[in-house]
Amino acid sequence: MIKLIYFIVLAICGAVLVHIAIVYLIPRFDRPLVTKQLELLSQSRDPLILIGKAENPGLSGLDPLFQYRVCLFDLETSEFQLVSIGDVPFFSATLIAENGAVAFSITDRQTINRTLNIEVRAASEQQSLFQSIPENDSQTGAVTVYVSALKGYAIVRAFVPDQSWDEIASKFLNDIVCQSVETAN
Amino acid sequence: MNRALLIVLALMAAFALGTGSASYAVNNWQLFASKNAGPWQRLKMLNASNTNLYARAFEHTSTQLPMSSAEGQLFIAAYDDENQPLDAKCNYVLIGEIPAARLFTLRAETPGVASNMRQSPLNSVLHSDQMLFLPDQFIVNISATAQPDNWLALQSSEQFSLILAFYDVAVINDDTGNSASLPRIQKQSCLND
Repeated sequence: MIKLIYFIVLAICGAVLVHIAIVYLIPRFDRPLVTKQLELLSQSRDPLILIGKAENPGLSGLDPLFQYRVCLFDLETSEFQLVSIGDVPFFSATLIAENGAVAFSITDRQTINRTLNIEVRAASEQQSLFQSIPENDSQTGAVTVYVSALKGYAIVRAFVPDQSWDEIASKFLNDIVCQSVETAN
Repeated sequence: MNRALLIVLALMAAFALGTGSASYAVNNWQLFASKNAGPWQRLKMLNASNTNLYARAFEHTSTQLPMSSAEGQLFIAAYDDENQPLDAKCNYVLIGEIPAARLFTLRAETPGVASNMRQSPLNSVLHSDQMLFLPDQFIVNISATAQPDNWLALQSSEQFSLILAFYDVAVINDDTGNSASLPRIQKQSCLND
């Protein structure tokens, strides 16, 4: 009887420890599954990934009334630009760091002239900004963002109110220029 | 029984119980989350420091693209106002104040049905631009059978959850979960009533 109680107590205590360890350790030491999935996909295809009507690379959006475009960025080598022209009823963009933290996000009404035009630079480059006269965002048309995350991915989501907007939203997302500033110019 | 064998068996049981319970808790994190407003639970998005541990682990192992709180806020409800599970055999009425958001969407989600909802000819997903509003509130009839006014069609006969997503909310940096006034979910009648 004592042995049975000993067995049960040991099993329960161990189970509690394993449970806590798993729940704590997953977010702390493992990278988010979305990040790993995107990196895996980028090895075999264009890193621009459309989620929605056309293809589904093992990732999904939160809302079926939206289409999504995802692309990876790496600020170690160059600055990064996210540009597209189009007129969808609503769009937003988010920069997610490699570890899954949100680095920056913006909705269409916070952009200049409701146009997706974002320049992303490493936070370390802010030093040069302080030493020079900053460019006026409204003149370049781009929103300049300094982020501390050097690697990660950007998500652009476009609202598709009904099927008549599918083509417009798809074009808006397909036309996104999502690359380093040097190669874009 | 040999003491060493007992310990090994206990450790194996502990490992099985621990991983099983962790997996269950992470996949059903809503059971362990407090409700924010009535039956609604806010889906905390990435980088929210006060996310509950199970929700954070779920987000980490999810293949869904995350959304920041500056873009919008998502809420899920699996129960009605009387804390009864939402059942597609019943009719419900969703009544709420017009939210201070630029856009909101509402859908009913049942495992295995959600992925095809845009191809459905019925309104299994609604958005604010297609809804009828009263002067200070909106009402949505949620039912498997056709309803007048705003109708959210239920596609299955099982239990379901409601997902309410607000985009471009008025106070974008309010992370308290109180920035949105959430609608009530009232059960009307059921098929076997």
